[in-house]
Amino acid sequence: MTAKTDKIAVDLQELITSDDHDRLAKAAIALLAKYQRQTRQLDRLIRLSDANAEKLVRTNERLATLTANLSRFVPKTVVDKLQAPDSPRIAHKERRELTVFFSDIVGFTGMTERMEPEDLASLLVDYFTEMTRVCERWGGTLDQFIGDAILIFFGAPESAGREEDAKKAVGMALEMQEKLATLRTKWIEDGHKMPLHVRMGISTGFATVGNFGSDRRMHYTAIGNAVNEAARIQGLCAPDSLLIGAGTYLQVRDSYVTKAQEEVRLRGQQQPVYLYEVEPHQLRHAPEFITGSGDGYRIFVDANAVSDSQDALNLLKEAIRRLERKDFPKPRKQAGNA
Amino acid sequence: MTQFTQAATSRTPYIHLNDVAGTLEITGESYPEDVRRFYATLSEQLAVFFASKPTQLLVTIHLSYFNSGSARALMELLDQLDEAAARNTDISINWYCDPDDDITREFAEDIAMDIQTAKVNILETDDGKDG
Repeated sequence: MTAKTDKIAVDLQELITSDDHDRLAKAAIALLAKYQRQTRQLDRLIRLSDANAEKLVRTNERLATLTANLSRFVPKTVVDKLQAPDSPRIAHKERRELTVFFSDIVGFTGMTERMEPEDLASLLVDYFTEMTRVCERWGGTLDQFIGDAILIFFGAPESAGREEDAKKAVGMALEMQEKLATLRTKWIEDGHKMPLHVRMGISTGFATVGNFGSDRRMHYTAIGNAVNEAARIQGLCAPDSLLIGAGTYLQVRDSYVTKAQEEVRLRGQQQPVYLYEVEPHQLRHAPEFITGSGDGYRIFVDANAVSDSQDALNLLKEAIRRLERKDFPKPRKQAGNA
Repeated sequence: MTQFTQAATSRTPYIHLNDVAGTLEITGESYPEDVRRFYATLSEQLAVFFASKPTQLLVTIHLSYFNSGSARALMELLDQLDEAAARNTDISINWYCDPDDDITREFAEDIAMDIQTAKVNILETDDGKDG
């Protein structure tokens, strides 16, 4: 098209210097026709470009709505992972170290028998909504609601590292406890006679995580001992308490105050295990903690909980003085050793 | 003999030119990285085909999406077909648009106004028609 227009223009220039007015007029008309046609084509391209841009905006709007809706059915961490440009697909299945949280409402079956369905539904909506918010705030993958139970894991599809994942899980559970206390007050004010009480269990260990199901219907979930263990630990927990397994305790013992429980044998396991109850109400004190550990030392100071600060100061000063002077008695050699 | 086939990709349409049957099919989506080069190949193949002075050609176009660069290339392609029609090849262009695709239908209607000799039929795809 452009080449033809150029040729007409060249011819026209030649004709201008000649006396052939008829040919000059015809060439001018042909050039004008070509110009008009190119203008029409340019208009078409602009209209098409605008229409495509409009279509793209509408497609983006639909995509945003779809993503928002999808996030209500699929864990937010999974949706985020699917959207990440460098992660076009989530690995089918993989073995990962997870920290798994499992919670269950105390006496739920009895509640379903004694409460009006509407009242129970209202409690559950409040409960699941608030727990989901807390889960998302801590970056947990909300695997599923199993009836009245909640299964959440940390460590997949994204992991912050074994220790951080465990700390987040415990932090999330403590915040859930605090939210539940607030919710209970609200429920009582609203006239509910049976506010919810919840047991929580956390376990750290290996599990297979990924997409399970059929090609047509997938569910991103975790399967393995850590999941079963979390559920069983939760079963041993007192109402409104949080119990953690030894694997989780090892990761969080410097960050949270725990109380060792009697040795127990979990259902389906040969060896007895130690469980630890995480003291409640630690989150609001968290900034006042001074924690740390290494070979030969472990420090935990909760400034809000120290009743006799002079005692604590004296102890710390003594430790500092002796560490600086290396003022420690040498270990005595045992008799008979070379 | 001019049998030319280009498989579809996520960015380019399926193209098949059959000189025996006298058909050309362009279907899919079109937003190639190098639009000029992509459609230049088809244009060269058509030039070879028209050099054999064929009596007829039935062109089927069904593009569910094409960008501005492809639109320009399509206008040039239709010009090439129109010129061949003016040289006594009976050319019919069936341009299929999806029922809800106003963008393609308006563009096809617009472009058809500049086609002098070839016959341009703008058709709606049936619900079951594959792209």
